[in-house]
Amino acid sequence: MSRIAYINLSFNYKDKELELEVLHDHLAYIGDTKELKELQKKFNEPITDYSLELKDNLYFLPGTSVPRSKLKETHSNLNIKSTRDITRASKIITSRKSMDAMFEHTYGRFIKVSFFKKLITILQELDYDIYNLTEVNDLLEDYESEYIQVNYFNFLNQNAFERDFIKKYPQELFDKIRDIATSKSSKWYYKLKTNKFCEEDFEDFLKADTYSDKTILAGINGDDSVEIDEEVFDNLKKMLSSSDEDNHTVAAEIMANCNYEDSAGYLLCLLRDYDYALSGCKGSKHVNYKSFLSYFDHNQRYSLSTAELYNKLEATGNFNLKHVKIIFEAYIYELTRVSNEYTVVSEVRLQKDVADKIGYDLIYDTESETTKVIAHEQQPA
Amino acid sequence: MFTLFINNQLDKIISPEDIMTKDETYVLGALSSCVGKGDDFRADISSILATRVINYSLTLAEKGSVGKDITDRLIKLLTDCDSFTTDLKYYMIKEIVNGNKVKFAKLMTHPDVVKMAVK
Repeated sequence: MSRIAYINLSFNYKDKELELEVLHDHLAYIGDTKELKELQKKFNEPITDYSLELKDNLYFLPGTSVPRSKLKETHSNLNIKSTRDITRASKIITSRKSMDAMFEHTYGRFIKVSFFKKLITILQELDYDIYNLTEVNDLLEDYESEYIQVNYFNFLNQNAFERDFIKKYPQELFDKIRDIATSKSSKWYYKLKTNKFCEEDFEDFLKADTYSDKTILAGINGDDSVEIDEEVFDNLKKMLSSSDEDNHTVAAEIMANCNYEDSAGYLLCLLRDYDYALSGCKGSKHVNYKSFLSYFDHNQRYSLSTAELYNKLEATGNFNLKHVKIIFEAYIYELTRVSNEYTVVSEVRLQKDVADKIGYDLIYDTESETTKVIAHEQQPA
Repeated sequence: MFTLFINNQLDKIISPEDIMTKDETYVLGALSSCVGKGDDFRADISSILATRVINYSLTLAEKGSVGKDITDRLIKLLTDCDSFTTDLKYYMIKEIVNGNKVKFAKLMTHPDVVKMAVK
């Protein structure tokens, strides 16, 4: 955990004065550091292979969209509870959106503490009066981070300063200070949103494992939830094509309450083709629908390409013949329509590595308008 | 209009409050006797009853919380009651869900209701 101090530097070149002011310190992670990468891992690579256990006490990180009432209902035999006290949680549930929900991604000017100390020494040697140095030194005594955050300090256009400096120190050192004082010292950093997550809980969060919300969402609607098959898919398309927007709400509810794993292929097709109708309907802001979108990591009103549909199948662990074939056949027209009077697309097939993954080749014959499914001799492990 | 109302014995049909609160067996029997079966099925009365159930449910939701008993009764009417045709059942779901999505959220989590809605 890195607390980063923000120190304001106010120069008065005429009177050779520098006033230091510690404005605050905050929990922040600077871009491209090992610490940040480890933090990102907690959000991006949570445990996915797990199941909820009897009397599990779940802590949901900000950004997770798991409908608590549905969870309790579908796992009523396990007596699952949710808690706001992270120390009492048996599992901490995270989602892809949690990091953005907990941290502000912003831009700041950072200098290494060692360099800051050197700068202070140089300024003292140049006969600068430095105010509040004791307070800053006290802060830096037990300071853990390599960096401090500073304001924009522009002493570089001050010729007098440069002249004094060059007389005593090498030009390279001056150039280094100039780089730091200008935009070259700026870095992206992640700052904890204390209104979203309590700072005191952060240590506990870092110590604990995180669990993916997707595993819960996959079974959130229970084993007896509806599977969207071809017939239901056609009905949902009619509902979403309807000019009566009330039908869109019912369709969205059906999609949010079905069995995601069994219906993944058709659900993704609907998200792609009717996203506008779905995102505009009454239930689109409800946690139930948001949890459905969260399962597929889909942002409303974001157009999905066909490749992204396959990608989402992979990301949700639903990359199998059934769902791949649904998407393959649904968007075959995108590929065959490029035929013209000179050239013809006679056959469409899966990429070899995709076919290897699912253990089947899918070959669409344009003339007969049929898809052949050919099993690989050796099924993948 | 009034005479027609009386002649059709619409003043005697079961009230929406009774439909939603009285004993299940009694209600299903009462609905069946109001609406009839087979060739005697009165689609007009079935439609009136559906509208009354919708209005009662939404008014109830507007006034306060919707209890499990009300949700369960709606589920019964929507999935296991021959007094409403499939299109009327869908109409009831559509109106209730759109009328107050939050308070009737549980309705659409029931697998049988979902199955009915996509028929």
